[in-house]
Amino acid sequence: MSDNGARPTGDAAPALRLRGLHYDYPDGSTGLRGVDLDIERGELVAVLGPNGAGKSTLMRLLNGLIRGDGAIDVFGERLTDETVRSIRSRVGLLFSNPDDQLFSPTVIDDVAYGPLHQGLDADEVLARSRAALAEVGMAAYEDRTPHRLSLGEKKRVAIATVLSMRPDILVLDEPTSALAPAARHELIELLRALPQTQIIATHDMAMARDLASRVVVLSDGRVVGDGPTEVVLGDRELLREHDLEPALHGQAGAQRDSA
Amino acid sequence: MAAVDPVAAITAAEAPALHIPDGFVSAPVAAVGWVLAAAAIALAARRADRNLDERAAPLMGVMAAFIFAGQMVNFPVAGGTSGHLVGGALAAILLGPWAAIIVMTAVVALQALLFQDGGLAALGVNTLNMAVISALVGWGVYRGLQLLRGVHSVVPAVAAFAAAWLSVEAAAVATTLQLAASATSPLAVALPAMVGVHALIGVGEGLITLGALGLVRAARPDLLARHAQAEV
Amino acid sequence: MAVSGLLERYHARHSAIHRAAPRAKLIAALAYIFAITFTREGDWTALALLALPVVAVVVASRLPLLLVLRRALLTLPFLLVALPLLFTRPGETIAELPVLGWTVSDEGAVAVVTILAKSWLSVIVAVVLMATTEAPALLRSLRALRLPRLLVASIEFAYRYLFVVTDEATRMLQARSSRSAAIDGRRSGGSVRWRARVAGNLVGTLFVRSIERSERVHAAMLARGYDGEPRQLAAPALDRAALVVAVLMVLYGCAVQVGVRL
Ligand SMILES: Nc1ncnc2c1ncn2[C@@H]1O[C@H](COP(=O)(O)OP(=O)(O)OP(=O)(O)O)[C@@H](O)[C@H]1O
Ligand SMILES: [Mg+2]
Repeated sequence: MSDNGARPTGDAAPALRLRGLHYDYPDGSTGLRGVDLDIERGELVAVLGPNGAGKSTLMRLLNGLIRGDGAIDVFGERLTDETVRSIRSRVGLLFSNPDDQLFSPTVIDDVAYGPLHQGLDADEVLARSRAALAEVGMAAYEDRTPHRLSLGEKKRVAIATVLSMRPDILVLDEPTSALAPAARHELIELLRALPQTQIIATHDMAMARDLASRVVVLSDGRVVGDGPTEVVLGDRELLREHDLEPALHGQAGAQRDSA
Repeated sequence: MAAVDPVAAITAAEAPALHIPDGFVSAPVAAVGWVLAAAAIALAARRADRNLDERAAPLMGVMAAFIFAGQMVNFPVAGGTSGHLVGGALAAILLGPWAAIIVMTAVVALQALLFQDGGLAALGVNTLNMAVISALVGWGVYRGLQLLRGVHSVVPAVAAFAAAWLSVEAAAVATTLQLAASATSPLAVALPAMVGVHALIGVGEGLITLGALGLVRAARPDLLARHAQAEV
Repeated sequence: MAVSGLLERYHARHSAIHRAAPRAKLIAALAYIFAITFTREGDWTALALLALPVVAVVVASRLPLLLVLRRALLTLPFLLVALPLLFTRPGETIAELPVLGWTVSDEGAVAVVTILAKSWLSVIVAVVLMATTEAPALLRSLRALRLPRLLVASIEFAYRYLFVVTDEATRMLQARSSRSAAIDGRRSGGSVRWRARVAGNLVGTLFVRSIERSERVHAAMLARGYDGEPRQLAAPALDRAALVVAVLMVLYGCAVQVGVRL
């Protein structure tokens, strides 16, 4: 298992190295058709792309929830049947719907779930869980039922359920979707403050511009754009070609500026 | 606080009349109910665990929530009455008998604990009637009729309707027998009344069960096959 | 309608009863209700003696009395199954129904009143339990009892998704009524069979969505290290005081039942 920040294998290895990732769903539809990507430690990468581009598929692959063709190396360690469980505690996955992610009767039960399954003892589990809740500003909500939380609160607790496992990489699927402006702003600031390497799938162009150092554009299961945020988001041609253009002038941008 | 609590709306109005409150069953009947229910649940938990591996817990839990919510779906019949679902047979047909027992037990237990719908000392008999008996009868009738006639397009519908109808009747008969054994209601009066009333309620149960299975067959036929085959 | 549903809004009140360990309360309530169950027909002494601690607990819990009494009436409709006893029990005739000419016996009346009293007392105990205990805490206390793990886990998942799936069902029902509004007052809203099929399809849709949700929940569990072995935080410790009170109540209940039989 990993400790916070301790990175055992190969100092030079990137946080993530993906080679020839391909995934077909059982019903025959194609999720990814050949993705190569290196993500360095500490990078904050936004993954953009139209609906059905394969973003969620990629997120699930990174955590080993689905297994396709190609190779995934996490800090130099190959993701295989043997390593998948230890890699899951290094790569924390935030699901797009917090009602799926928060499955326990109370907040603290949920945040403790990961550490408990990492085999930590009870005191350590509670300590880590409370620390994670404090980190997302939800310390006072321990005994609440997830059902009674606002969407913004649910998302933050969901992040705490991942943070309590002390992962080195955070994989976030649409963290800001459906959030009202204030809650969205708070969430972005929360993500900015987290030290982990982050890969964020999103339709929130303004967040990508604001938060990410690098943008990857996915379309129809392939990487069609990759580079520093300014460069990729400045490439109008690319954005228009992959249906990402209108959002640049849309509400999200205006909202962000006034927030 | 003033907002409509959908859960509140369900329980009072739609609760099937089979939840026995405390005070209506005698101590011996209640105790026997607990023992029989516990034995059935222990067996079912072992079987369901084996058939469904580690997917079992989240599946059973969400399915119990589904049955709970499904019980609030009603349809107007006539004169202000409405048809609605208990769900034992539906759960058994969709998930297999053992899983259905666990699912229905979770439903009945939550109804007793959270909503005082059915008693606590009476939880044993209520579980026995609505979880164990209704699931086993529903499953038995469904499989029995299918085996009897082989695979034929009409048969599954008839089998499902019969399973749902009989599962309600069986639970009602069991309830009546327990009340009679507790000297709470005279068998000669209560049995015909309960059987008669639930013959009607069973029609609603049967029709909803049919409609539900029809949709599942059309939308996700794999689900019917997946959970039904793993058992026996 | 206001008296049904969850009793959550009373959790914020504070009393010794609210603070007592859920596990102690659950076991005490169950055992005490069992003790009430043993009451013989017409044993008013036993009923009065059993009611005393219940009254004390209701007062100590500082719950609104009216709420407890009204809520307890919810089981009243079930009394219907016991009413035939009025007429079928042999005994002295104390009344006669005007038209039908059925006679009410004294024995029958005693039996029905006893059932009513036992039921009412029991449901008050259950109402106090739920109104002073948060549902998650109560369910968590099930972990410490020797129940099948799969059942406890299922109950907890069910509680978590009860509201989510119920909300989903409510939305679907609203969609149904908004679409059937135009034809409702008309000649028909379709045959009963057709309406039943619509309701059934709704249930089927709910099932498919629920199955898919359970798959996503399973994935979320896997992502956090689930390996088929459910691990949970331990149930909170039993506090001594609550345990003592619980045991005393149960002993008292047993003592009453034995005492009245001597
Ligand atoms: N469970 C599934 N079964 C079958 N096909 C799927 C499944 N999930 C996704 N797909 C298909 O895989 C492709 C990629 O889907 P994915 O969910 O990864 O897209 P996405 O980029 O996350 O889209 P969105 O922005 O809408 O969330 C789509 O064509 C989709 O239809
Ligand atoms: Mg997606």
